[in-house]
Formats: sequence, C-alpha cells, structure tokens
Amino acid sequence: MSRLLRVTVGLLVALSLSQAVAAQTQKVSLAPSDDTRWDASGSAGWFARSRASSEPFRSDSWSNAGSFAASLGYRWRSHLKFEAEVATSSTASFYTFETLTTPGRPPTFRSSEHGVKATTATGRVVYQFLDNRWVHPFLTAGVEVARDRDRIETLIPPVAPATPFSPPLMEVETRTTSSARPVFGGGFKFYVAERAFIRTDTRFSFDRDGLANSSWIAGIGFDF
Amino acid sequence: MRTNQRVVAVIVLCAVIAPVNGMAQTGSDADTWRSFVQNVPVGTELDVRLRSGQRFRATVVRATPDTVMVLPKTRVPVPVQPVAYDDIASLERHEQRGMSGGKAAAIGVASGVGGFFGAMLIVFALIGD
Repeated sequence: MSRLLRVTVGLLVALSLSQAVAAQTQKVSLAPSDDTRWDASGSAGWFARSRASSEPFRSDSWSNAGSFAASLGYRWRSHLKFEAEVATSSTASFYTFETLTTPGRPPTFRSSEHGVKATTATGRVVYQFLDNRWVHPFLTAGVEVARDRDRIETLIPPVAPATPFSPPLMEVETRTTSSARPVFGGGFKFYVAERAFIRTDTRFSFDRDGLANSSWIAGIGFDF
Repeated sequence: MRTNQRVVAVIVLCAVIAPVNGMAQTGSDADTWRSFVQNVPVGTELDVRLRSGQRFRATVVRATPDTVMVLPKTRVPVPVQPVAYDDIASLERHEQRGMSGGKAAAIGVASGVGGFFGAMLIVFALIGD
C-alpha cells in the first residue's frame, strides 16, 4: 500500500510539473501597456415591470416606462469587472379595479390609477469576452435593490343613496416598497474609438413570482 | 492488489504522458514555421495559433532565426512581440473573406447607434403618454 502511495504521489508530482511546463508556454500579451481599469457609462432605454400576483385585476400585465442609468465599472481581472449602477425610471401608469360589495346593495366598482416610479441600485459582476477588440460581448449577474414608489389615485364611489349630483371622492395615497432580487443579463460593447464605446444590453430580474423586471438599454461610455 | 497498483500507475502515467506528447513540438515543425515566415513578405497579416491555445491576428514585422516579431491587431495598440517558432501551433495567411473587419465594425456601430436612438424614441414616446 505504501508503495502504491509513493508511486501515485510521484506520478502526481510529475503531472503537476508537466502542467506547470504547459502553463509556461508562451502567450502573447494583447493588453496595452497603459491598460485602463475603469469605465463609466450613461444609458437610457425601456423598462418593463411585471404584474405582482397579489395585485387586484389591472389593465395590463406589464407596465412600461423609460429607464435612465449611470454606471461605473472596475476591471480587476482581464475579463472580469465589477459594476455599480444607479437607475431610475419614468412613471409607469396603469389602472386597477376592485369590486366593493355591501350587504343588501348591488356591487360597485372602485378604480385606482397607479403611477409607479422605480429606482434601483445594482451591483453586478461582468464577464467580458475577448481581449482588446472592437466588439466585446458580455454577461452579467448581480443583485438589484429596488425602491418602487406607487402614487395611487382612487375614485371612491359615492355612498348610497347617491343623488345625481354626488361626485365621487378622490383619495390619493403613496406607497413605497423596497426589495432586493437577483438580476442577470448580457449585451455588447461596440467601441467607436480606442476608449469610447456604445453599449446595448438586456437585464432580467427575478422575484419569487418569477420574472419581475426586464429592461433593454443602450448608452455611451468611456474607459479611463 | 498488484493489479490495482498497475492499473493506477498506468492511468496516472497516461495522464502525465498524454499532455506532454500533445504539447511536443518537433524541431522539424519549428523549422517549417521558420521557413514559412521567411517566405512571407513583411506586413503580411497572419492568423496565429499558439501551443498555449491562444489565437490572434498579427502583422509580420521581422523574422529572426529563433522568433518571428509580430504586431497583434488590437483596438488599443500593443507593442511588437516575439513569438518563438517552437510555440507556434499553426500559422495561416489571413484572407479577407466576404465582409472586411472595417465593414463589420461599421455595421456593429451603426446597429449600436440605431439601437440607442431607437431606445431614446421609445423613452420619449413613453414619457409623452
């Protein structure tokens, strides 16, 4: 048994040495001597938020809005980068409807107009393919902290017996919710100069109900 | 037990020997690449594959007895670098097939710019609602 162990260890050492030799075979450096590690970009695009399953019936399954983002990236390996991003959306509007039942009276409907504005802060790891090329595909994975501000204007039907001159009352309420969820995506960086690029990417974030948000953005940035 | 020892020894020996054989480059291969490089004009674009697995496109700058000096084609310029003939797995003269790199880049950039302005139009349309 000890002989077997010695032989195995000896051969594994030889294997390690042979792989070390293989690792020493030449590689040509495609990274410039004054390689930059930081990049910054500003983007705009389309942001879609899915319907929460707990919400009452509403006009759309998805609400759409514009999205604006600023990001800062730091590359700590040749293909790996950490990126922080802050984004905000324009107000996405939709309606919800609820049935109100009062014993002994016909049901009435209450409608609410929602205006949701999402603000997110995202930290993600980016894997960028290829070295020092004009086009770089990339994949991202990270965590998004989202704060949704929902301004709700509700028309409250008049309390019966209503007269023809009883206007409905309007109630305005603002609800703010925060959540953290995983976000994945990918896209391309198209360099238009040595250190300036156009980026396009798509992102998808998920919660326990499935797909929560998706966004498609395009922007411009530069390396420094 | 002895059979087991032999099996383990053979397996590990194969693991050691196989990559070494795979990496082995005979002197005649190096001579072949030396001869190839000496017969292409300076300034020729080559598709280079090294024994390390790295692939890149480069322009031949100068040939020496042991190395070929190449300028890799990159976005941000990099220095001219020597590549030992022993480390070359393959060399091919780069042929312009179909669309040139410039055209492909232009299409890529145009797509990116188009996408960007398309996104902006979507954003403005949504804001206008």
